[in-house]
Amino acid sequence: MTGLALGIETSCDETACAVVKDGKYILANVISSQVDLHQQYGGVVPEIASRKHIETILPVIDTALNQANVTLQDIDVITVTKGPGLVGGLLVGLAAAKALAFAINKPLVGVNHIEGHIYANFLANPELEPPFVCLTVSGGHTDLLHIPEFGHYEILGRTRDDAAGEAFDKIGRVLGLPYPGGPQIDKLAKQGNKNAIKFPRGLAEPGNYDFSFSGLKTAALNFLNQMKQRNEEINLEDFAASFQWAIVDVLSTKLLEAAKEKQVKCVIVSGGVAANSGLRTHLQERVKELGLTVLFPPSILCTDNAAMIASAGYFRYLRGERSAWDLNAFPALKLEDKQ
Amino acid sequence: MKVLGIDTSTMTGGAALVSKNEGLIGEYVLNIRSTHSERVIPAIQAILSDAELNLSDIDAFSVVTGPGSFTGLRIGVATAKSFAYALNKSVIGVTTLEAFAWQYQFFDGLICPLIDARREEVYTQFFAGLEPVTEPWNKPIREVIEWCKLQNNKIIFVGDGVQINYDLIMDQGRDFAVIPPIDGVVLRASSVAGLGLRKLELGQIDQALTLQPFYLRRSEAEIKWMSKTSL
Ligand SMILES: [Zn+2]
Repeated sequence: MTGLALGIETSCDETACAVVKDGKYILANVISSQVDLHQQYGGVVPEIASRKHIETILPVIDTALNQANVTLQDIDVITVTKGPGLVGGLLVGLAAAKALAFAINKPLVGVNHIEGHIYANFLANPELEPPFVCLTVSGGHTDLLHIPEFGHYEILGRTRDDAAGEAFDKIGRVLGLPYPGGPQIDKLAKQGNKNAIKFPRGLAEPGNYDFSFSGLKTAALNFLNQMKQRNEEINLEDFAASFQWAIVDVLSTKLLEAAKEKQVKCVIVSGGVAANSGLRTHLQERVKELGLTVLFPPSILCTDNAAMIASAGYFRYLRGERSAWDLNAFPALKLEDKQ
Repeated sequence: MKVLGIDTSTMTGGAALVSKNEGLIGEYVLNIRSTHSERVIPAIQAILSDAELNLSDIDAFSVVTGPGSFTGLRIGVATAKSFAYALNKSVIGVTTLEAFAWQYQFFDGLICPLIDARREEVYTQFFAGLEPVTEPWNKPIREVIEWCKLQNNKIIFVGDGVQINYDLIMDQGRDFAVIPPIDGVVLRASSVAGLGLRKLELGQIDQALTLQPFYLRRSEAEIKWMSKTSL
C-alpha cells in the first residue's frame, strides 16, 4: 500500500488529473482549462469540450505522475468523476480511468463530482471533522448539505432552476463581459453600491433551503431593457454590486440559518462561486457575529480539479467500495443517488 | 506478436485478438443499444480470460479512430491509448474506412464503406483493394451515388450507412451495386486487429500521448460560428 490515489476529472471544461497521498496530501494537481476555447461561444460547448478532453487527457495524466514523481504502477486506486456533468466529457475520463486501472490491475472507484467539491475542504484543512453545513455553489450546482459524519450527506436544499454561477455567467453574457462572467461581475461589484437597485430574493421564506435564481435573472434583464428603452446610462458597477448582493444575500442567509438549525459550529463553502470575494467578505463578517467558523478552500481547489476527486474516491476505496468495468457516466447524478 | 483490435465507432463494436503465429484468437462483436462505455472493457476482459492471457501479453493496441459516432470514437481512442501508455506498448490508429477496405480487400471492384453521418449524409472513401481511390469524404449520399455511376465498375457497399440508404442504393445502383448479406455489412473487430498487425509490421505506429479521433466533420458549434463569421 502506497496510499496513492490518481484522480481524473473531465465533467465540464477542465481536464484535470491529480495524485493524492492518504486522501489528504496533494502531490500533484494538474488542471488544463479550456476557458479560452469556449470564450467566443459565450459558454461551454459540449462537443468542443469533449474534443479537447480526449486531446489533453493523457498529457495531463503524464504531467501529474511526473510532478508527483511516481509511476502509474505505484498508484493504489484510480478514481474518476462519474457525474454529474457533460456526458461526452465524463465518458473520456471514464474510458481513460478504466483502461489505466484495468491495465495495471488496480481498483477503480467512480466519484460523485459534488462530493468531490466537499472534499476540497479536507485537502485544505486535513484536521477538519464533521459535523458541519456545506454550501457547494458553482456554474453547475447550488447544493446546501448537512454533513453529520464522514460519507453521510443530508440534502437540505438545492436550486430549482439555474445554479448560482450560471446566473452570474448569463448576466455577464448579456452585459457583454468575457466568459466566464462571474469573476468579471465580482470585479465590477467592488466599485459599486450594492443597495443601488432592489432585486428580488427567490424562495426567501425562513426554513426553505431551496434556491431559485430565475426570478432574479428576469428582474435583472427587465431592468437592463427598461434602461435601454429610456435611453438611460447604466451604472455597471452599481448594477453588478446589486446583482451580486442579491445572490450573496440569499446564499449566506440560507447557509447560516441551516447552521443554526443543525447546531453546527462550522460552515464550509466549495465550488467555483466560493471564490467570489463578495460572498467571502460577507460570510466572514457574519460568522464573527455568530461565533461560527467559515472555511473556503483556496481558489485552486474551488474550481473543478482532480485532487478533490482523488480525495473523495480514496476514502470510498478505504471503505471497500469498488466500481465495475461497466461503470457508465451519469450526467444528472445527485449526491443521494446510490449509483 | 499479438494485437488487440478495438472498435467503438458505431453501434456495432467490440474487440478481437490476432496473433502473428496463431491468426485470429478471439473476437467479440455486439450490435446492441448498451453504450460502449459499459461494454468495451468487459468485452476485452472476456476475450483475454477465455484465451488465458493478460493485457500485458499484448504487443500493440489497434483502434478505430473514425469517422463514426464522435462519442464512441473517443471511448475507443481513450481506451486504446491509455492501455498503451500504462503498459508502454504500441498504439495504432486505423480509420473506419481503411479497416473496411482491409476486410473486403479481395473484392474485385471498388470498395465503398458508408458510415452514417445523419442528415442524409455519409462518411466514405473509395478503395481498390487496399489502395485508396479517393480522399475520405463527408458528403450527401446522393452525391456519392452519382459519383459511383461514373465509375463503370462493380462497387461493394458496406457499413451502417447501407441499411439506412438501402432503397436508394438498390434503385440508383442496380447496374453496379453489390451488397453483402446482413452479417457481412458490419465492420469486424478482427479486421481492425488484422490491419493493426499489418501496420505494426510496417512500423506505422502512433504515439499514445498524441493519438486523436478522426472526426472528418467539425462540431455543430464550429460550423455555425464559421458561417456566422464568414458573412
Ligand atoms: Zn464543479
